[in-house]
Formats: sequence, C-alpha cells, structure tokens
Amino acid sequence: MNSLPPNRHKSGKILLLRNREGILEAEAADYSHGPVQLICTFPFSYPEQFISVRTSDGEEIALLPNLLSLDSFSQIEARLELDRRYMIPRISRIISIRRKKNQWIWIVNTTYGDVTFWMDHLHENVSEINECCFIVTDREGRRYEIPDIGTLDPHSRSEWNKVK
Amino acid sequence: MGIHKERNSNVSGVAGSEWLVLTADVNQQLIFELLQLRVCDSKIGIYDSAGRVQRSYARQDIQSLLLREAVGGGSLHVTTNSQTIEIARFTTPHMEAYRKAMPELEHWIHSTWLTDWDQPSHDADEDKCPKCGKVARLGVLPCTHGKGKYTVLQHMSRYFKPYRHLMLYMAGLLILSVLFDMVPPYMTKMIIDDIATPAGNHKVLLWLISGLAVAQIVATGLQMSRGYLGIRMGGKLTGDIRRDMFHALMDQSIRFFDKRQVSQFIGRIHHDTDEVKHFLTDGLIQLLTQLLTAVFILAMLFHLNWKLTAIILTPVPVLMLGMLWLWPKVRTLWYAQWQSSIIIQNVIGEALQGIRVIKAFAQEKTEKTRFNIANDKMVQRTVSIQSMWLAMTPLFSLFTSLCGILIWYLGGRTVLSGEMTIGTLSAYTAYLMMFFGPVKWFAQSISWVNDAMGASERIMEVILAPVEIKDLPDAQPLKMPEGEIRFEDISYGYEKDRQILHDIQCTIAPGEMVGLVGHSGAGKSTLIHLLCRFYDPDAGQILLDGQDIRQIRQEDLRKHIGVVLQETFLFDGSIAQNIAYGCPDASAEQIIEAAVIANAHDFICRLPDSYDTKVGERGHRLSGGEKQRVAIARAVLLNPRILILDEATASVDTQTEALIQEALNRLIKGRTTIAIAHRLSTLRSADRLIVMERGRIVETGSHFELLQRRGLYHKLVESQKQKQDQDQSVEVHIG
Ligand SMILES: Nc1ncnc2c1ncn2[C@@H]1O[C@H](COP(=O)(O)OP(=O)(O)O)[C@@H](O)[C@H]1O
Ligand SMILES: [Mg+2]
Repeated sequence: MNSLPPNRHKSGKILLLRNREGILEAEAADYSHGPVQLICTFPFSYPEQFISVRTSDGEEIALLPNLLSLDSFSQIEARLELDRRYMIPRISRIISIRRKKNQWIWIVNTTYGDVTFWMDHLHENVSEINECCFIVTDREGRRYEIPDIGTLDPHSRSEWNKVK
Repeated sequence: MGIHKERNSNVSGVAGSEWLVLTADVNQQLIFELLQLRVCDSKIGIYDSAGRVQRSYARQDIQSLLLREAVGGGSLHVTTNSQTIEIARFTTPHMEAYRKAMPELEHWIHSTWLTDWDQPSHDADEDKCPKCGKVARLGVLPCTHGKGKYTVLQHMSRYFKPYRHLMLYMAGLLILSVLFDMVPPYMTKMIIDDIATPAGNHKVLLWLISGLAVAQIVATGLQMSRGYLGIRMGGKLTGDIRRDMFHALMDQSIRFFDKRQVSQFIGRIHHDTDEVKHFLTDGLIQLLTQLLTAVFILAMLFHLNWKLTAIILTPVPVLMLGMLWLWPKVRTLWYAQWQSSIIIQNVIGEALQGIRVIKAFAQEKTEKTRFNIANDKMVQRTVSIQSMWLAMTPLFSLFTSLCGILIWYLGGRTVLSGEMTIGTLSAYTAYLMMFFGPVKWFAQSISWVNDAMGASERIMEVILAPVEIKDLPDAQPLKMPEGEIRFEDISYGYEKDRQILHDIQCTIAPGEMVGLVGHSGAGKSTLIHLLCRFYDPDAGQILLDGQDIRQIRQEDLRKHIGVVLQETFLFDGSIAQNIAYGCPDASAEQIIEAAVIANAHDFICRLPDSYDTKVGERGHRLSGGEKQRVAIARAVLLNPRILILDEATASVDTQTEALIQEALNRLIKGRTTIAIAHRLSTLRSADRLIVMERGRIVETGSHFELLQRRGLYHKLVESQKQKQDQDQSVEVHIG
C-alpha cells in the first residue's frame, strides 16, 4: 500500500466549531484551519463515516473514519453542516406508488416531511446504489434516498415490490 | 411536486416595487415548505405561502450575499453585522434561477439608494413550463403532462395510415368469416328439428349436409386469407416502427445517452416492436373476431330464447368488474417484468463491453452472480404472471361448464314443457359454448393487451423523446466560415447542482492555434463539447464568426469542425471506409492522400489487405497510435475550418507521438485549432495558451509570457520537467 500523503491529522485531534459569522471552522493541535467544508465520501453507503474535512480551497486536512470519533460538540456541528450540505431526503415510508395517466405518483414520508412527487418512468428514475439502497429522482430532478429497502415497514415493501 | 404547484401565484398581487421573486421550498428546519424570497428596492425577505413575512433584512444592513451550493439544492445567506444567516433554502430545480439572480443581487446591495439601480424586470423562474410548472430540465424524457393514453394511441395509429385499404379488406373478410362461423350450429338445429324426424326428407338432408361442409370450407379459407393479410401488414408495420425508433435514437443528443445504459436499446427496439407485432398480427384480429362473434352470438341467443339468455348474462357484469379490477394490476405486473428484462439486457451488455476488464481482473464469477440475480428476478416475475393466468383459466372453464349444465337443466325443462324444440336447445348450447369462447378469451386478452400497450408506450417514449439540442426553425446553413470563435460568459454544468464551467470568456482568431491546458478535470473537454454543440451552455453564448452557434444548422456546424479525440472509434468496415467516414464519396486517391498526410499510409500498406483491411468490432485490431492516425486521416479528409484535438496524442509512445505530431502540424495549417494536450511540449507551436483551472480561465498568453508570469502554467511545466528528468535518469540507469 502507498503511504498516505502527509499534512493530515488524526481525527481525534480535530475540533469543529463555528466562528462568529456562523461558519464552520476546524482546529487541530492549537492550529486553526479557518473555514472548512465537510464532504461525505460515501453519502449513501456510510453517511456518518469517512468524512473528509477540507479547507475552503478544497485541500483535505483530515479524513474522519467516523463522526463518533469527534468530541460531542464537534459532532453536533458536523451533523448540522452535513444535513445542510446533503439535501437528499430519506424516504422512511412509502404510502403508495401509483400510476396515473403517464405519470408515476409517489406518496412518501421522508426526513423532509410528507411528499407527493411525480416521475415519468420508473425504469429511468430509480437507480440502485447497492442491493438495498436506491435513489429515486422526481420529474424535476430532486433526488430521494431509500437507505435500505429491507428495513422499511411491510406496507412500504409491498408497494415497492409491486413495481420493482 | 404538489407543494411547488402554486408557485408564484401572487407575484403580481404584491407591492409593485418587488423586482425579484424566487422560490424557496425548504424551510430552516429542513422540511419542505413553499416559501418565497422577495426582493424590493429597500429589503429582502422570506414569506410564507400566506404572504406573511418570516424574516427580512434592510438593504443597507446587508454586507454581502452568498449562494452556497449543496448536493440536491442550495441556500442563500446574508451577512449583516458580521453575522451570516441563512435566508433561503431550495432544491436543485431552483438552483439556476438563483445563480442567474446573484449578479443582480450583488449589484443591488452595492448600489446607492435608488440612484444607479435600475430594476431588471425578469422572472427568474422563467425556465419553467407554463403548464405544469416543471422546470425545462434537459436530458429527461418527455414532460408527459396532458399526454395520456390517447396520444400514444394516436401516434400508433399513424402507423396504420399507409395500410388503410388493406385494413378495410381485412375488416370485410373478418365480418364474413364470423358470419360463416355462425352457420354450422344453426344448420345443425335445422337438421335435428326438421330432418331427423320420421318424416324427414333425405334429399334435403344431403343439401343441408353439403351446405354445412361448404360453410366450413369457406370459413377456413377466409380465416387463412385474413391471417395472411394480417401477417403482411404486421410485418411491414413493425418494420416502420423499428425504423422510426432507430432514427429517433440517432437524432438524440449526447445527453440522452450519457444518462442511460445504452445496451437496453438493442433489446427494446427488438422486443418491444415484436410485442406490438404479435398483438397486431394475432391479437388485434383475434380481438375483433371475438368481439364480433360475441355480438352476433348474443343476438342469435336472444333470437333463440331471450329469457334464458337474460339469465345467463347476469354474471357478466360481475366478470366485467373483475376485469376492471384486474386491469391495472396486470399492467404493473407486465411493467415489472419488462423492467427486469431490461436489467438483464444491461447486465449482458455491460459484461460483453467490459469483457477484457472482467478477464483481466478474473471477475467472471462476480459477473455470473450478477447475471443470476437479475435472471432469477425475471424468472420470478414470469412465473408470477403466468401462474396468475394458470389459476384463471381452469376457474373460467369451471364457470362455463356450470353454465352449460344449468342451461341443459333450464332448457330441458322448457323442452319438456314444449316451449322449445330439442334442436333449438342443442343449437342454443352450441352457441353458448361459442359465446364463452370470446368471453374466456377476453379475460386472457387483458394480459395481452396490457403487454402490447406497455410496449407501444415504451416505443413512443423513445420515438417522442424530445431532442434536447434541436435546430431552430430559422437556423442558417453555414458557408465556409472564417473560423473566429468567441466564448461569451459561458457557464455550464452537466448536473444542475454542479457547475463545471464558470463565466468562460475568450476569443480565438481565425487560423489561430490555441493550446488548452490545465489539470485533468479542469473542464477542457467540456468546453470543446460545448463548441461542438453536444450540449448547450446554461448561460452565455458561443459565436462562430459572430453568429451564435445555436443559429447554425448542427449538421453544417459539425461539418466544419474536425475532432480528433483520445479514444477513436472505428466502425466495422475497411480502413478506407473508416477514413472516409465523414465524406463517404471521397475517391481512393483522396483517401490515400489523407492517409499520407496523417502518416498512416505506411502502416496501412504493411497490413495484409492494406486499405481493404477489416477493422472495428470484428477483424483486425489496430494499436492506439495506428487508430489515432486513422482518426487524423478522417479529419484531414473532412478538411474542416476548425480543428479540435482533445488529447490526440495522450495514449501513444514518444516515437509514435512524433509521427502523429508531424501529421498534426500539417493538418493544423490554415485552420483555427484548439488543441488539448497532456504533454505540454506538444503545444510549443501554439500561438497562444489558455490555462484552465476548475472551470475557469486563469491565464492566457504565449508559452514564454506564461513562464515569466510564474503562475499555474509555470507550475505545470515545472512538474512535467521534473517527471521527465526522473524518467530520463531511469532510462540512463537501465541503459
Ligand atoms: N458526461 C458527464 N456528466 C457529468 N459530469 C461530467 C461529464 N463529463 C465530464 N464531467 C465532469 O466535468 C468535469 C470536467 O471534465 P472534463 O471537461 O472532461 O475535464 P478535462 O479538463 O480533463 O477534459 C469533471 O469533473 C467531470 O467529472
Ligand atoms: Mg478531457
């Protein structure tokens, strides 16, 4: 294996905090990195793991193996930041997937509230991330995530199995 | 999405000084809620759907505005009092409107009170379809709002038009043959009632019997000729549909194929048209026959004994309801089945295209498993559809036999009471059985019809998919252009939530050779794609000799742009055919001349069949450098005014590169050239270099100017030098 590039920190030593302007900054070993951005390297497969911390010009300063390795305050800030950076609602329950005229209508509960959305064709707008994780794209290009079809309630699963 | 529907409903109703209204569809708690961001001369505020203000900021308090792009959306932040606060949050479809509004918003906060500020008067959400509020998103199959089944049928019926006369014949034959089918039972009745009595007449019997035979023969003949006509028409018709599907695919823009696994279309063109063909040749005729038969028989049954018939018909409404209930379910079942067949096709297509990688990584097992999973799913679907009918058919038979028994009982009573003759009863039961034939068939035809309808919908989905990049009706033909290219404020992103090119601005003079350099992923190829009009920019325009390229017919535009890419595709055919791909009527001399210029002549002559050597999918495979020179010869023969070389020499060794470089230098003469090269040394001859970084132009100038400036280009050159030195020292060691 190649060795990792230098210049990076172990996650335990990173602190995330907000400056007075409300922007996320990182501090490590009494050195402030200034504003940083967080990037999920596996937003669907491992949403809370492998978080890349990067400076505002995109240089990686740390790769957190897990959010849990941060101290609790940093964790809160990190979640706040990630929730706002990844605006992909997660579908928690499928009320129905129906076809009306030439449109498929999905009625679902999501982390962003209850939504009804339309799509033209199921076969072009449902894509598989892995065996149980799917991304659903509505007519206007919004994406919704089904994190794990197997863990949804039986009703949701039967709605899903009817069409997929 | 429902919650976005009443967007902008009261824009004009509020204070006239609002000059910008944008939709914000996510609130601060990250819940979908329809909000509006309204900006007037003095303030910016966010309003809920009832028009109540939630937060607002006076213009003079705002220090700056910041648009933050997230995945799946974005947010607008204001900084006041050294505090940055999120004011609006929205999903991807609204992104472009915010991007467009940003320069105006910047201008607004920095202008002094109402002096140098003149309100722009556009609706930032202008890109939306006025009918359904759908953003005109590109690369998406048609916005089908308002297009119901009717349109699909309408479009399908277009295909029948050329066969109108044939269809009339068929309809005539159909009616005749159904009528003839009806004769035998009635004759049987006559035989039983009138002849098979002690007073029967032998002569009449003979007549009736021969009549019966003739009726049978005629019916069979009619059936045969009908079938023949059906097959002829169905065959031709599906040919037409297949042709249109392929043509539609060829007319699609690159975007369409970016988004899809293309292997599916092979199967779709084949399988879906086949499905429709089956329906047209067998199904439709059957359907009409059975329908007519049912009507005639019903009439006959009523004629023979209306009371009995009324009794028999009582369960029919129940059957109808059952069918209505079944209809959508069956449709979904077929659709699911079709989807799994598409998945199988994609798995096969991918595995075959990637067979070398699969072998190299010894992943045959994984691919087999992947296929098995897809296959099992399909099997499961097929079984569930077929078992549904398997259960239906015996049930139906049971139902009909019970009906028959009932009739014998009820009819027997009427015969006993003398109201009906035995002949009538036997004819009646014969007709009844004939009647249940169609009814039973209808039940099964639900499955058929749904399958065929689904197939025709999907056919239409391909044929009617709007072409993203279309020629405008007033597009001009392009005569020999001078070759001046100007990029004006170009912004572009393949996905709306990720902009790749930002405000690109540059002019390339006619005949100039420009080198485009930058790290990989900087957006160089993307810029080239926009020039070729594979995609249209989100903002700004590209001018060729001062004319927007959107005003030029695409065919003409591409005729004058020659492209040599890193990867060349050779078609199945001879080398000569491949060289002449852009100009099929080139003579052999021209082809050889082009090959000579491209430094390809010598290697071609070394091939066993020289210019007639088969290349492409089957046949002789060329090495990377050889393919590249065929591609250059192609461009030479096209003789374009504008030449684009995208990493044309990236995949070859230094010696071949020298050969190619030599060919390119000949090719470049007198043409406007944009060359992208990984090895900066190959761009030495460029008049000017344009350095790109993360979708922006950061430097331009000649090689020496840029070196002196010690910017990004300097860095790139230095790092390559180092690498070269290393390589050389390695070579020395080995040597
Ligand atoms: N068809 C595509 N769909 C989506 N993104 C693309 C597509 N092609 C290129 N990109 C992205 O655009 C960026 C610029 O790519 P490109 O213009 O090919 O870079 P280069 O400068 O190396 O030629 C890359 O980050 C790439 O991921
Ligand atoms: Mg490239």
